[in-house]
Parts: sequence; C-alpha cells; structure tokens
Amino acid sequence: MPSRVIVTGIILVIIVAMLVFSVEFFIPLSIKSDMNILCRRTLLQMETAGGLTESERQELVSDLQDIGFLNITASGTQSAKHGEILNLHVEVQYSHSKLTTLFSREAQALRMVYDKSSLSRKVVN
Amino acid sequence: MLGGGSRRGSAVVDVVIFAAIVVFVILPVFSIIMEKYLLLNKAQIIKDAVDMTNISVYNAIKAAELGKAEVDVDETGALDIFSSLLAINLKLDEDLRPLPESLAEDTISIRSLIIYSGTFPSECPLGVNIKRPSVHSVIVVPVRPSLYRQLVLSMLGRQFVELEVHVDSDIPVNN
Repeated sequence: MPSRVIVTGIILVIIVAMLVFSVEFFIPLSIKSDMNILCRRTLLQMETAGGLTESERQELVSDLQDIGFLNITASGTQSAKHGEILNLHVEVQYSHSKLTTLFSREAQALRMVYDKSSLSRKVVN
Repeated sequence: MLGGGSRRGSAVVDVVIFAAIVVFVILPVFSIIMEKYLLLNKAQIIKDAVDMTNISVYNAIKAAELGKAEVDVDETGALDIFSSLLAINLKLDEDLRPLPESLAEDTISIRSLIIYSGTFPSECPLGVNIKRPSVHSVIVVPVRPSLYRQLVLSMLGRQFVELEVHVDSDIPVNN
C-alpha cells in the first residue's frame, strides 16, 4: 500500500508540473497580444495625426511598462503627408519565471517586436 | 490477504497505466491544443497585419469624390496599395513571396479585395454584414505546422497548411 501512495504522489506531481508548464507556455503569447493591441492603437493615432508625436510615444511606452515590459524602445515616422507610408517599430523585453525542470524555475527574458506600416490619412500637414 | 509481490505488482500496474495515459492521451491532446493555438496565433498576427493594410486602402478613394454621400474608389490603386502594404507588414517581396523573417512559407495569394463605399447594409461574400464604409479582404497564407511538422504534412498529403485569413475593416469616416 505505501508503494501505491508514493507512485500516485509522483504521478500527481508530474501531472501538475505538466499543467503548469503548459499554462506558462501560453503566457508570452497572451502578453504579445496585449502589446499588439497597444501598438495598433498608436499606429491608428499616427494615421490621423500624420506621424508619431512625442506625447503618443511616451503614452505607449508608459502603457507597455504598466503591462510589465522592460527595455522598451519605440520609434516611428514623425511626419508623413497624405498617402505616405508610416511605420511604427517597437521592441520590448519581457522577463518572467518559467518552470524548466520538475522542481526548478528559471528567469527567462523574451524579446518581442512590433513592426507595422500604414498610410497617412492626414490631409493637411 | 495480499502478499508483497501483489502490492509491488499493483504499483507497477499504476506506473504502466500512467505512462500509457501520458503517451497515448495527454501528450497527443496537449500537442493538438498547442498546434492549434500556435496556428491561431499566427492567424491573429496575420489578421493584425491585414487589418492595418485594409485601412490603408482608404487612400484609394478618389479625392475629387470626397464629401459626397457615395464615394468612388480607384480599384487598381486600391489593389496596388493593398499589395504593397501587405508586403511591408508581412515581410514579403513585391511579388508577395516571403522574405527571411516572414511568417509565410510560400507565396501569398490575395483571394478577394472589395471596398464597400455605398448602399448599406450590404453583405460580404463570406456573409458578414457591412453597415459602414469598409474594406473586405481574403488572403491565403501558406504556413507550416510548428510541432510534428513532417508527420502532420505527410498525413495531410500537402507541403503547407493554407491559412485563409478574412478581415473586414471599417474605413475611418472622419479625419
């Protein structure tokens, strides 16, 4: 009977570890999706404003910091006339603790990039 | 009353059953969910890029027609704008073939691009109600599975999995 308890315990630990590992696998994907939403909003603002203003850039950086990103660099076309290409390039680092083996966790840093272009809609510059 | 051998046997049976469950149930189900999620994630990234590209097609509206209730669109210009912005956003060359950093694995095809600028409500070819000026587009992006790539592709008998991405984007009505 004790052997059965031990085996069941080990099995449970392994199953829990697998569940934790699989859930943690999806966290960066979800975080990247949040980053995309914020960057898309900024790019739409850039379309109507004809470029990336310093206040919009700061707002984007601040929103990304609130989510938990580090080492944020955001740059974009500052001025574009109607029909010209606007680009927004954002790079961030996301650090989180990840289960690596059954009983150990390690800090992991991921680099995420958003690089999209659109056309300026601003008629009067 | 069980002897020591039977108890050991029972524990061994537990381990064998657990191993079988892991190998034949948990790992395949986990792999399928993971693969599906990764494909959906790729599709979402492509949708974001197509969405931004759709909105850029706004620039194909003929400037002379602006201010009228129903505006006209330069269709060739719209397709040119769509192709060039799609190429930039999905890291493709001008023939829509993938560059090294692209998510696509082969040439992307534009299946449809329709601009709805008047007569509402309308319906796009895939059945979505259009109530405002919008751009409808469908592109096909060849991608490869991330896990068990060769196995999945050989089972499907294909070189790529073709993701059909359909996006309807409202054209901004004020500037």
